[in-house]
Amino acid sequence: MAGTSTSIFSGPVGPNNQPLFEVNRPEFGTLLLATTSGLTLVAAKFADSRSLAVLILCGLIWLGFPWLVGFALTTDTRLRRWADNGATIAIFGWTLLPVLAEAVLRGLGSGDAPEIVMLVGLQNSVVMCAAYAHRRRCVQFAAVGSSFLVLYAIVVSPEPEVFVLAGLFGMMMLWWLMVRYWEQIRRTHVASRIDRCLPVRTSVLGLVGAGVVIASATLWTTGGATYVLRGFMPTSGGDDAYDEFARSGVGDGDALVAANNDAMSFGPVESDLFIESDKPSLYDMFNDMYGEPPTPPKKRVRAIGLSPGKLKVTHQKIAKTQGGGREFSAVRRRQKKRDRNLIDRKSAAMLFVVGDVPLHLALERYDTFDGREWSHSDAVGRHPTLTMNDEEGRPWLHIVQVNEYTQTEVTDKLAVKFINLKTTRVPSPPYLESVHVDKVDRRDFFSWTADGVIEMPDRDQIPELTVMHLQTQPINLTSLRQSDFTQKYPRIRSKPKGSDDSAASELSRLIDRHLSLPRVGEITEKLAKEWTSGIPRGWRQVEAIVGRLRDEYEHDREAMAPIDSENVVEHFLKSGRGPDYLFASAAASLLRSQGYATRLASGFYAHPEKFDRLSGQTTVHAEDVHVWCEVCVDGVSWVTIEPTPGYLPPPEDLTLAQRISLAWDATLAWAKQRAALIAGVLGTVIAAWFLRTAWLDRMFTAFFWLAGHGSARRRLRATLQLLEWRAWLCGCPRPPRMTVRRFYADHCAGLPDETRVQLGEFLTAVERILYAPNSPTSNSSPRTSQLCKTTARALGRSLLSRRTQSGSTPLLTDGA
Amino acid sequence: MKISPTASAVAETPCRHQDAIDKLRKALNGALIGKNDVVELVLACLLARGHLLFDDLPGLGKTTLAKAVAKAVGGVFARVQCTPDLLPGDVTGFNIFNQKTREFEFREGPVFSDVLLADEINRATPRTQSALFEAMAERQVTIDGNTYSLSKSFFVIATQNPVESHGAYPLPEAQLDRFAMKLRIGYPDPRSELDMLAAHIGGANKIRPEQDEVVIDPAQLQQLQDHVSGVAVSESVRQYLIDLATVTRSHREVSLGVSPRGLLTWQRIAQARAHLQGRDFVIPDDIQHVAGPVLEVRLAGDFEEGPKITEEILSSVSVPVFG
Repeated sequence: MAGTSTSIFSGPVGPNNQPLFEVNRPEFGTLLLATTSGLTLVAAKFADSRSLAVLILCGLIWLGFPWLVGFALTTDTRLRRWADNGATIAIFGWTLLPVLAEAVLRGLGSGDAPEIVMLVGLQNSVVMCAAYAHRRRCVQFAAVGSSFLVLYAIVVSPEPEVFVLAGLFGMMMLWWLMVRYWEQIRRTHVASRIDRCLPVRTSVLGLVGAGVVIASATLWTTGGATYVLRGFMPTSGGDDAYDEFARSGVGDGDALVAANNDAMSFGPVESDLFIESDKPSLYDMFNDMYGEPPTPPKKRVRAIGLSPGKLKVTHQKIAKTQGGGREFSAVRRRQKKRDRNLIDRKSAAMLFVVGDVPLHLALERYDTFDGREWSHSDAVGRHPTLTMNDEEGRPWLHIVQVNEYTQTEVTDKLAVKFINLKTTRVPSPPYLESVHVDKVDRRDFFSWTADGVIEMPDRDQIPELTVMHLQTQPINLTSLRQSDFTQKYPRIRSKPKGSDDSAASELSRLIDRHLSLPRVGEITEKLAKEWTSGIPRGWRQVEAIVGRLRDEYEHDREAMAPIDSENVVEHFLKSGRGPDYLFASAAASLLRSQGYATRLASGFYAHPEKFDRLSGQTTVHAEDVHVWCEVCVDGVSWVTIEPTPGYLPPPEDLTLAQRISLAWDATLAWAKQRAALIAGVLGTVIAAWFLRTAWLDRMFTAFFWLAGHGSARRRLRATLQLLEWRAWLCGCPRPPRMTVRRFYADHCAGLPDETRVQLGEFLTAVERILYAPNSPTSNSSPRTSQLCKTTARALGRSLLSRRTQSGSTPLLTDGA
Repeated sequence: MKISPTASAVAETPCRHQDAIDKLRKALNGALIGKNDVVELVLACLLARGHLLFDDLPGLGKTTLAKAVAKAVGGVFARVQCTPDLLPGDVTGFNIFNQKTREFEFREGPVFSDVLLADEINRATPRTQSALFEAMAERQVTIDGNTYSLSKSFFVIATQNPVESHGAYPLPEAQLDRFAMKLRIGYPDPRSELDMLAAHIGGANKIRPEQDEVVIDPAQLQQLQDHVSGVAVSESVRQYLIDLATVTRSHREVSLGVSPRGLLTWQRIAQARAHLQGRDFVIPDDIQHVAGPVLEVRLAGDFEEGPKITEEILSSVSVPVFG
């Protein structure tokens, strides 16, 4: 359409009939500028975004589509006219689309604060306007808008990436302004009149006036700055309004509770005030989660010895809230639902974990199982030595415990922030190696509990908001798999006289304790033997038992063992379902029956799903209490195993080569299991690839028959489309600069005369519908149908590929 | 049998002037043996009311063809042999004082004809060449303040010799743009030359006995030209023309692209070519087929091979098909 094209490329022309000003052509300089500003905004949102994937995906969509529009505007097809005619719709639609997207995202659990949504709308309008940079108003708005976006990003974000992008934008903007300046100079010299598309003075005055009127009206009608502030900052928090997606709060809010930035300033010191709270203690949490034991615990022993002064003051409170039990009943009953009008909200966070998840944090350990209850024997075990060392000015409590399986070169770091957990015990991840609490440099602040957990004695609890840094040295499971580690158990069958207190006999007794089983355990032993038969003794047998439990048994918190059950593990193994403590008990019993020393561990499970990318930490709630199992590998070191399906085992720390090797083995095993399926799929894919032209041609032909029904016009178009597809399939599509007649007439040599005549008729009919759309098509439908069929049959793939290989005809004939 | 890339297979609504066109084609083909393509382009130029510039060596049939055109359309034929001493008045005519009547009388020049052959036009001075401007563009001349209309079917066939450049005045771009196309006849193929030689044995041309017949009168020609101007050009084809013209204006080797007047001429020639092919609508093949002669006369720049530039220009714009 000549008119549209003229409007696009309008403007003064130079001596060569070319438009003088490149700004009147679709150009990408402004689009690049606007995209940079959009990227700057994305970088500013990076730190605050809840979902990185959503942020990147939205960024790609919001900034990518205008580029497609820009490219469409440079083509010489009808697409350009559509894109240009739909400029208003595109700009407004793209501006408003983020609001719709936000509604969808919030439905999916993600989303942004309203002010961010508005900014994204502005960003979209800027970038889309930049795609229409050949329009003067659009290019002006794009430049101003992108500058605003970058300024906003600089103000709100301290991220270095934002400043880098802003610097880049600044340089680009400088260049852009220079280009615009010189174009303006040229325009002034060449054109006698400069058309102002926007009355600048009137616009500015009008905008300022409108702003004053709106502000005055708002202030007058709302009556106060506070109210207005709330109106303008509907999600800022700090008042009645609360938005889950608010970026920050005024005075309070989630960020403060999360102790994101300066939690270390709340270090544990003697003068800390411990506020009594009605939040559940560890034991309360277990009872809430699993129900209560049918009989109350035999005894409760306070794990913390308090100084007389403190004991005097807080005696009653502590007895109620900080009791550390030494039994864990595997027979429990769900509490009756209390008829309370509970508010449906998340429980308060117990801990925050900064580090890799999933993570098992042990608080209690049990070594003795009588078939119904786990307990810890009174025997005081020999625990690794604790030493306090200074590392880079920070005091670290080291657990001197090295064995041949420890990967001394690998150290994982994590931090635990105490929020509502009231205990003196250090939540211990597997393979704990050292502990650091800021400014706590005294060795006697830490000690071992009888069941093998590090605690901070002589206090009511580890103070709230304490940040505890932990280091672990993982066990190398690969080397563990290569040998029977039980050979390293210190076993003294004949007790030498006078050697009861020796370390060896003590360790031997410890192992015996962790191998003891209740009497009734036939199924346990039978199943364990069955599951481990044919598997070399050692860690592979442990993995086999754990794997069978995870694969074949169902995790069901409601499936509890009967009260009168003598051996809950037997019942669990029969029923095939149960809660996690039964999984852990079963795993421990099964392994013990095969001579592997095990113990039960209870504590918290930091779930990967609760990782909050915004704060970089994982929240651990009361409902995250969990019970699992640990296996002794050398009498000293314990390796965590996770028999409960749904809970991920501790991630194995592997070298790259080990990872590749494991992945290769796993792939091979997977492939062996599905050999027939894979062979079938591969064969199909290979056959589909080699026969691609044949089946694609048949598919296109089928489409041709489907699309060709109806008018003669549609049939002709469908046939031509089929020919075009076929030529493309043959690898020699019609060059876009070659006419239809010239291209397809070239393929007629060798065809019978009658066919060629029909092909000529077909081409004429096609040309009529393509280039004389208003003229009536006189081809009767049967004749057209016959022409189309003949053409589709005659110009098959073989003919098209044979002829196109001989080269194309030049566009011009020599006659000219 | 072979389908020509540009031949139409079916003319669904035969034109009532088809007989006249066929006769015209036959007459010109009889005059210029073995040059069907050139004859088709000459016919297209004639039907599009364009003027023709032959740029070729002597003795290839330029004058013969011009005479054949003049005879065929039944109009007045005039010839001007351009030389450096040719004056503008010698072309347009002049006022002479009649001593008997004591008044100035206007003596018409060769432009007052239906077909004017300006032989070796590049030998005339620029002043004389310019005298043809008004005649070619407006089909009228103004002498001493009086305007005289020319024949409505006024058709200029100019020739120029590209070899002998001494004493020649290259045609200015402004005048070149007034020609619809520039053609080269070229040597005939050996078989055609054999026929030609045989035909002239005995002093009579046996091949073209009807060469002196008038096959169409000027009034019919005008009707035909009016009819041709109504051949449909779809929006996509018009856009294709514009895109091609845009490319000529931005081509790095072309300093002077196609002007709007040139664009109109291109469209008219394409319409005529479509009509000659028996179609009542223009297809991109028509545009491409006439692109060479149409562009060669009006593209100026730092290039030597016109066909190559034309090929580049045509290759840089997609043919509209489904869009």
